[in-house]
Amino acid sequence: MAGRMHTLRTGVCLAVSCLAALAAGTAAAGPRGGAGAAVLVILDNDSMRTSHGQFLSSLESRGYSTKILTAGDASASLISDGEYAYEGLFLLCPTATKSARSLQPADVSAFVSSGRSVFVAAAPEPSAYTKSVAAALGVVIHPSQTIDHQHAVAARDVTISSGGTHTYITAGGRDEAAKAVWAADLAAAAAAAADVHFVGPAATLSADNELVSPVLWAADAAYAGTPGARVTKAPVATGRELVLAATLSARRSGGRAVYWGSVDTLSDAAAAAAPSGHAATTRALAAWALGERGVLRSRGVSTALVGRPPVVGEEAATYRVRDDVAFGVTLEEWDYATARWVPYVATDVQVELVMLNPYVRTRLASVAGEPGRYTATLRVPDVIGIYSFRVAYYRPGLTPVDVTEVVSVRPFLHNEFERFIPQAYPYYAGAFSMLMGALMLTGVLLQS
Amino acid sequence: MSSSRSGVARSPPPPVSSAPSTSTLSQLYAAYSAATPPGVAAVDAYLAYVLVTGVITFAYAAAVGTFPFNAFLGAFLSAVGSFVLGVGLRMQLSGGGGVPTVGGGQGQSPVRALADWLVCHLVLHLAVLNFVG
Repeated sequence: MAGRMHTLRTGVCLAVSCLAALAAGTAAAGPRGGAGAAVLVILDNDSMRTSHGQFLSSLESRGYSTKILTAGDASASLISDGEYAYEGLFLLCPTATKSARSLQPADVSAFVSSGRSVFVAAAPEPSAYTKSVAAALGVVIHPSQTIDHQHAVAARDVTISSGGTHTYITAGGRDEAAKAVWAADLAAAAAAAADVHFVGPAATLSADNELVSPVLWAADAAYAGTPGARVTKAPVATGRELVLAATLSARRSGGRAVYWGSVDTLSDAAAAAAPSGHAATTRALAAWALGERGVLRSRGVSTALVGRPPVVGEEAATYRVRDDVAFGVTLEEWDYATARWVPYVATDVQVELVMLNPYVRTRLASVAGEPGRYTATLRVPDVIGIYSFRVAYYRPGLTPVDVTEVVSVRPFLHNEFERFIPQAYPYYAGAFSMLMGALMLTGVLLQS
Repeated sequence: MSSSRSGVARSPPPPVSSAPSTSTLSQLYAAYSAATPPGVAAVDAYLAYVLVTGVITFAYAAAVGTFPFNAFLGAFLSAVGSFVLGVGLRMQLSGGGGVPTVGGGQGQSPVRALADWLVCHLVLHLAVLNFVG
């Protein structure tokens, strides 16, 4: 009797909790948790809580709940109860040598691949941990610093030696095509690259990673070197190759990572000494990393036969050579403010028909009444085989959209060839004229 | 008088023909039309027509290409076959023409020759029209 009541009560509790979880899950169907998402911040030491107070409080003011720990804290863990407890990870601990066991580079990569955000900051001499985390995200940090003798910030570039070492510099350029990154903060779109101050290591992007792209780089006069030392051999990187900030977007899951090379310029003192564009840029990078802008998704991939009735009994995705096929896809962007997916409108989306090599490539046009819906009509080439329709939309600052739809292409059926070939009309005429001539000769000979 | 001046042997002058202004071709045509009966002349005209058609077909294929090859072969071999059958008809209509017959006779009557020719043409065109496609 008591046992049956007990199981009944636990069953009811389980059902109620399942319903609650279902309701909570469908309420915010976006890629991120939205307002109230938890962000884990790891600092070098406790003094950074005050020295970087404005940067940290900007996260709070955007609605995230931050948990701030220092580097050696053993309780730092992304996973709790078997699932991720945080939406974002901010590693502002470049000089700390001890790292938590659950924050190894492989864990950070998995965190990004799961659709979450990472923000890694480096310092002029980062630890091996920070270097390996950055390498996992596609940024190679070299043992030298970024030095620019022509763009040093005189007021801040003070060191033990006179004249400064010109390591505290302004950035040289930024990626204006990555509009989603700069749109994440209102003032960042209007900021210039020269507003941004930087003191940090020389970093370049790894060549074989197609998902990472630079957003801020040093001026042409910058090079990778040791402060105060003469340059006797060619530096490992100069000018635009020196990356000050880079972004990584994971395919499909919408995960993001941002590399920012100088943790010292995130501090309040550095932001006060710099133009307002500097603080706006760092806020924009943090907000973009947390997925507030430029998160895309694709839906409704369709292929349809145009121009001839389908053959009865043929499978759905089978087309014939020289068919016209209409391809359609819908692209949507996550609107952080209203927490819903809105149509994404662009003019540079293209589709390819690929079988080992692309045979046809054409631009997708927006459908007039439906924003976000794109269609194009392609002609299947004369080669039979298994093709895929592919939309590979990789743009800086946006989630990569990689859509593949596989179709098979068959040759003509025996009754689909053209009946009379225009090039052969003279031959037809010749054969018939022989027949007519024979009949006429018969007539003539019978008369005579 | 002139023969003593040059030692070169001259050919005898051509004989004077009956027509005042003649060329070789018109002489040929006159001799031909005198020698052939009208039926055979009709067959000769037909043969010329077939020959021209065959030449045009071949020239077209040489100029434009042989796609589709079956259509080219059908048209060309139709012309060739028609020519061959026409030559046979002409040989029979112009009096046996040296064609040996089984019984040693003089060949067949013209109507029989025409009927044979028609049947062969039927078979030829059946094959040609199927092959041309």
